[in-house]
Amino acid sequence: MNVQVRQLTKSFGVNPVLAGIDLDFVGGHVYGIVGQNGAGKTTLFNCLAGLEAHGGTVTTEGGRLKDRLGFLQTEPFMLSRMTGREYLRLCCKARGVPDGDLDARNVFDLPLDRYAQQYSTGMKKKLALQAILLQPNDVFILDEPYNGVDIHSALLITEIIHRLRASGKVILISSHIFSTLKDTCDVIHVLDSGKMAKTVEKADFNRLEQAMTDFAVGNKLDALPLG
Amino acid sequence: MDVIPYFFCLQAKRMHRTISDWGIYPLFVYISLPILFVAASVALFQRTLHAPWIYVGVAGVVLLQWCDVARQRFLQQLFGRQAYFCLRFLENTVTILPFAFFLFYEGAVWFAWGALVLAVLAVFVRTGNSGPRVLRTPFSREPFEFAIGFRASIFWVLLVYLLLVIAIYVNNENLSAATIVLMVLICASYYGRSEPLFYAWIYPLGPHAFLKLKIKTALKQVSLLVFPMAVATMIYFSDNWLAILLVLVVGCGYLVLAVLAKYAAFPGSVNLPQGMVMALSLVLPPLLLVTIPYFYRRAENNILRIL
Repeated sequence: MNVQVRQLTKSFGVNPVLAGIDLDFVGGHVYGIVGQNGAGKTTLFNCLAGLEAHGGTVTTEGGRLKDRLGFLQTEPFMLSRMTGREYLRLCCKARGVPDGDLDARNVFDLPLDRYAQQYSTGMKKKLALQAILLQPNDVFILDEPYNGVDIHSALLITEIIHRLRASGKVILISSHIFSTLKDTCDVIHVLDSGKMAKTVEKADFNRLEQAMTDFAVGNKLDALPLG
Repeated sequence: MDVIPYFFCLQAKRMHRTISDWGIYPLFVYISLPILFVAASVALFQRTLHAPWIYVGVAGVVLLQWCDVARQRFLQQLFGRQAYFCLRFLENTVTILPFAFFLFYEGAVWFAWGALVLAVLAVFVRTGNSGPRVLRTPFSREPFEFAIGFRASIFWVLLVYLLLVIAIYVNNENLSAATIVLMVLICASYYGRSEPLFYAWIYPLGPHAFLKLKIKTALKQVSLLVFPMAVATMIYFSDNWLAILLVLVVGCGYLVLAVLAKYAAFPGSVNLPQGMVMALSLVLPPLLLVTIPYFYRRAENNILRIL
């Protein structure tokens, strides 16, 4: 299962957000996408998913990417008065997957018979992740999968990513927590102002982390009396 | 306290933008709405002796628009206690004033004062607090409009059933047919708002298959609510079974139209001209033969971009 992205562009009005992105994703690999707020990560994911019209091409072996894509959005939106169980059923039915025995497959121990809109941020995230894991997807886009989740769930998510990789899936992750990317990714792409600024292999993750820390911190804190 | 004038200015701006989004000139609404209000009020008071009761009831329903619990929580977070109550009191009073003025004009003084008291009492009313308790529905197995719509409209659904019982009790077949139409309209309202793009995107279907699935689900689920009503009506008013059947067919047609209109405007909302076409189709049912194919084509083209 390979995905090829060529010259992907996206503008909002006259503002270019993504400028000619070229990427290759190969099955059995985990790809990290990092960048500052507003760098275009979520827009890139939305374009790959087909949720945003864009320029350039996204080519997948054996059919449309969207039909085999599990997309975990940054802030999964839960409709009011819909239970967690109904959300999971919806995602199963939409992809023609059996929706029985959801309790046995409730790996995050979510209260499925409560309204999903009343879940905490982390619970919504886990419900949305659970939903895409029930589907027979080949590619996973996980936009900030660790946002708001508790420590046990974070460990579980890391293990899930490892298992998805072992079963040959393509996984794209964005995260603002570098350690989670170090634990899971094979390659990290650095997105800067809508362009792919850098591609870093696993061996160089520490160097990338140091470079990012130097850039982020620099001498900015000298102005504060932090001792 | 200058935050309160700012809040009302902001609401006026939001209203202005909403009207513009409907695709009509706001000035047109600002001029025509008071005229319509007065005309409807005069018509109501000319037709029935119970007009003041109905009028205060309508005013109460309008007040409920400001009582949503999420909105109130937001306002309470934003404003201090004093400013919050002042603001709630002012918005309720401003809402009720046109009703109160007309009631005074008609000489229904006690009703006018009653409406103003209602405005004060409504400051403390909260609606839409679903709480942790989940209402079980027969629609949970299918996604998703009926399950959540039914929960949101349970009060109205029960009211329509009650009306049907009254219609049968007083032997009024027109009222019983009207309850079926009302139930279909309630169900059609489940399709009044678009869900986020993601909820349509997850389907690996073409536009035709997607719309077919949505229509099939809607018809299947509406029958759960309407079928018992139709059977009861046909049993009690067996002479007019054909008319009831016709009402059912038109109701189903209207529901199909509501589904198609939603996806014709998706992920936005049905705009005013489209809404007027829909309303016209309800008043003149043969129009459905034109509007259903029209909205189908629009929905198919529109949803193609997402699927």
